[in-house]
Amino acid sequence: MPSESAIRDAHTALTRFGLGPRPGECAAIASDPRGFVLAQCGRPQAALITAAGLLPTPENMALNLKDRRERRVARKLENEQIEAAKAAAKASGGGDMADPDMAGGDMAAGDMAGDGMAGGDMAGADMAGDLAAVDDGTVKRDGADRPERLRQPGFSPTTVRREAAARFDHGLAATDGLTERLVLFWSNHFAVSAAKGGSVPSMVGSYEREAIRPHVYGRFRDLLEVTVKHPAMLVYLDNWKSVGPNSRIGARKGIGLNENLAREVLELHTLGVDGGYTQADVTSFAKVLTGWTIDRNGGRVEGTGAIFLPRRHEPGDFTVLGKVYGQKGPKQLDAVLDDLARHPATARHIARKLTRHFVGDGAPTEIAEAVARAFLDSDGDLAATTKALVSSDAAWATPPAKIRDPYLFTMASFRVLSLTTDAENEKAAFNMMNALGQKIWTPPSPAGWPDADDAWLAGDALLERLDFATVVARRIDPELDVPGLAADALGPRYDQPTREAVTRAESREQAVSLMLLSPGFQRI
Amino acid sequence: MDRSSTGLLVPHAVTRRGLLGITATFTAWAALPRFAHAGGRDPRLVVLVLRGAMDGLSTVAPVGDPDHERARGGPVLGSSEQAPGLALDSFFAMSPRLPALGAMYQSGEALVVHAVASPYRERSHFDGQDVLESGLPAVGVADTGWLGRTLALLPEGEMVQFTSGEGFAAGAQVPLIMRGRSKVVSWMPAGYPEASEDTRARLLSLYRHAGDERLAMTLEEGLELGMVAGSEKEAKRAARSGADADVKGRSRPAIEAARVAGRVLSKEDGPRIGTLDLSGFDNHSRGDPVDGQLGDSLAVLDATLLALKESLGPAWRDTVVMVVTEFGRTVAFNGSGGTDHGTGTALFLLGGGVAGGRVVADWPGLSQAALFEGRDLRPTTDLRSVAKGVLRDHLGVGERALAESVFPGSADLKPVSDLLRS
Repeated sequence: MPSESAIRDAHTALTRFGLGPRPGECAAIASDPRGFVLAQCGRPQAALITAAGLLPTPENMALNLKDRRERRVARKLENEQIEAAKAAAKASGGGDMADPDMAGGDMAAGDMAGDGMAGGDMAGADMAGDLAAVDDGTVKRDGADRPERLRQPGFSPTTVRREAAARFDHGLAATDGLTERLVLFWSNHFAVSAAKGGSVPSMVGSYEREAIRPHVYGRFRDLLEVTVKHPAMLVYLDNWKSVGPNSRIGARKGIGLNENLAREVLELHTLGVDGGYTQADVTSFAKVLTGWTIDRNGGRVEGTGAIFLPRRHEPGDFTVLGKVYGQKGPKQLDAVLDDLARHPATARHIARKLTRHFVGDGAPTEIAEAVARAFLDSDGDLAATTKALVSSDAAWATPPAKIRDPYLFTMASFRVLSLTTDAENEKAAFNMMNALGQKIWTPPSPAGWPDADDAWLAGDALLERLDFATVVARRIDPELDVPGLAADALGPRYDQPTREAVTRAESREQAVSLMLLSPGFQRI
Repeated sequence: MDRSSTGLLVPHAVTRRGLLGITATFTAWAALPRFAHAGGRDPRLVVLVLRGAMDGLSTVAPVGDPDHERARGGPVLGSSEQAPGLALDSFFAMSPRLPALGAMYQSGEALVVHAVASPYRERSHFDGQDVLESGLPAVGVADTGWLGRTLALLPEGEMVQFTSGEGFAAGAQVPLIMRGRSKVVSWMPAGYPEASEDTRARLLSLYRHAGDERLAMTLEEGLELGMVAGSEKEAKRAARSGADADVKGRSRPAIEAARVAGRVLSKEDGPRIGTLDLSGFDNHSRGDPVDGQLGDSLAVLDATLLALKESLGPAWRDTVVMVVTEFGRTVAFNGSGGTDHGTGTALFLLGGGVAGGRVVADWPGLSQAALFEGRDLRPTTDLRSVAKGVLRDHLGVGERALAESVFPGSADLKPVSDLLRS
């Protein structure tokens, strides 16, 4: 029998530093729980998803473009038919064939990388994305569309679903829970959101696979570079249309800067809002970023589909945080990223966020200090940084306070109940996240999802969770020994009140619901 | 902006930023103010928060400013290749995507306050929304909002009665502006089949026995107001399927929320004070006020305001709607036909009680020298002065309470007078 403290550590390893225990997992790691967590830092390949049918970003972009073009044609056709019918009804010829939907939105696709400013990207046109469509069942697994979906612009209807399902399945099967938690953390830190519409929804999944997953134990500097230069980020934060006013394109067309990406990299991704930068730094950095855009010519695209076009890059030396960057072309951005990744404010910002994410709002400050030190000392080695966090005694000793967010709650419920993602279960999972306001890859802003301990705690949200638990509880094995499972999965948190609630429940389903909603399951 | 970066704790982050992308929550005070039964006036107040920083200069364009076209250098109203917009007076024109608001303006039921801003002078959305909603003079730790604190000053009467079909749920996603000591309810789009009453009661008992006060209290709030509201799921479904089936597309959640708001605010025993949320104004690109993304967002706003007015019916007479945003955008268009984060912007007041048909502005001008930090519209009116004028003249809140508890540290800011019909 493992000791009481070993059981407690095993539970912490699988909850605070994991995705929630599967049946029997606590006992399996109880001989060395801390070693189990640390060892994951040496297995970066566990973060990679190799599911079949997932496409690289350039192909997703191309499909999205094709899809949008087809929708536009279908919509136009439909409008023409309506107009024709109206005209016939009036029996007066010469109806107006102008298509209001086409105004300004028609995109000279394919040429976008040529001179950069061809049309709009239809951004933000449609929030009711693929995942929302699960609600009313309009999206079939095979992607067959109902005709009304044709009216919604800007979505390739199966890409996000397929990517989300692959991500969820990967989590369900994961043994290296810390690794998957780090993916979620960094994906949220460098957030892109399908809420932008346009081509972004087609890229959010491949963005995470290509930019985030390979780097969670790599160098922060590399993670920063691949996210900044990924098409999903370039489109989400508008850099693909930012043009140096004095560049060849800018001078010829009289177009210029967009500072959205520059600001958020400084405010959110690196220094933090109090990191000491000024508006002038934002503007200079935006100039440095000009030229980085997306290549939709297809065919010859390598890598993620991002491209640096010198004819869009603002020429000149720029000062960011008091240092002059005189590099030419794309090297200028690399030089700025070198310094941002190394900046003490970045180390502090990252350390605080990491600590709060895993240990909670009340984490002793010594943890974040140790993490920041490890970050600086290792030049942003994220394996070393993560090790500093999970080797801290205080990080294991701080009492659980953080409410699992909807994604983690859903994931932990599926893992503990050994549920698989058949169509019904998957629908329940995604509906739950949508109902609680955490639609996958659709955070409300570049800041990502909120991360305070009680951020997801609200009266009707708890009732939503209970309703979800009631739905999944109906899908368990009818022979399941619920008290036994609860004792195993809740470990030291299976206290007297929880035991009473579970054992006295009027049905196995009710016992499952109460286990999933118990304080020991909600707070990690 | 993310408070993790400053180590501060902001527990309400989820709700403030809006959960569903295009948000459309309606949140209302669950108590009936006693003055509602005092005979005569029965004032209603709705604050509509536009998230993302609306471009006030494109929405209500100073077409008479000699520097307008040059300073903006983009698709502005009144320029040679752009529609003239709706003329508000000899100086200002409004986007043609706001026809309902324009009509209200013409009939004297809407006014514009221009070159306005909260006291916030940086350019982070999230800090900007915090200051706008908290009513504090600067970024700080805030767990209550100015409207929430106003509720605490009003004489609290009976709890509002809800009937099934209204779709209200309790203690749910309350935006910072409404947070305070008073009970609020909110309306959001629907979810799931429900757990049984028995399971709910057992869960509450578990939380109490486990000594997790926070979970117990939160669930209790949910259950209590859930009972008042009837079966919330059923109600939400009803609200969705019924009269609103005709509303389609992007503006649907907003129009639904506005209709729900109007419907309950107009009832004799319904709530009197609420907030609505609308996102989608962060137009770094396609900032064209007619055909662009901004134009589309304005069309959603217009439809929302019209739905609110229509569903209020005769209660529109006693209503003031205040439409605000966290800050404005750059005067000059950026390289993508949009605008970046700025400072001064416009706000709207509308309703039967508003002394409308005019633009209230101490216009700072758009010459390079006149701009704030050389790039933004210089704010000449503090948004809090406008709010203070409304709260004083519409709800009868005293000036001292306004200066001390509603907008702490604002004693030097006089309420703007004559915004409402006397």
